[in-house]
Amino acid sequence: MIGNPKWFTLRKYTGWGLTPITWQGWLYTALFVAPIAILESISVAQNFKTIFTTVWIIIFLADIFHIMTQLKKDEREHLHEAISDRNALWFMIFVLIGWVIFKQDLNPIFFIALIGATLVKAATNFYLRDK
Amino acid sequence: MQTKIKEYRAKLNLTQDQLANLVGVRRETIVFLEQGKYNPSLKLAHDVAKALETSINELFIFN
Repeated sequence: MIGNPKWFTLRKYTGWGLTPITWQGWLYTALFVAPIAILESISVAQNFKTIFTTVWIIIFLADIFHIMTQLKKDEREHLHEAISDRNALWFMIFVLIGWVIFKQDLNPIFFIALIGATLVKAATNFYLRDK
Repeated sequence: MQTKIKEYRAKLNLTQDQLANLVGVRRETIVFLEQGKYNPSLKLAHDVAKALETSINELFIFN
């Protein structure tokens, strides 16, 4: 882990992810964003740009994910997060189903998302069954 | 639900922050517990009762 969980707080009102709450957190964010911005502004081989940016973003996202798992939540926050995530999921499901019905668009990605979500729900309930 | 958390906390001269640290929750959770607006898990109720040197029965009153 590169970043420190003490530098961030979990986003509540602006989606998912982290918000820096200390200067170290802002510096960390800037240090990850700056190389990509610099690389985009100079002329180097497109291949190098693509590979560097992809690897850099994967490292950044992996570190953010790791920091997020280290940030402790109490039971009330866990409950609130579960309820808000459930509501967000319902909204996404309604939009996806609405799109399929309204546009008569049988794009397989919608079905993969819906069936995938059903499977994730089943797997979660199966995992939680004896907890 | 009503609680006597505030009363017992005052007896032990504990701030909400200190009690929150003792039981491993955020201060806001203690605030809502004291106001009877949050129904805690059995574990949290036990931890709070233990930190305040009393029992769950004494601390939480269900109407």
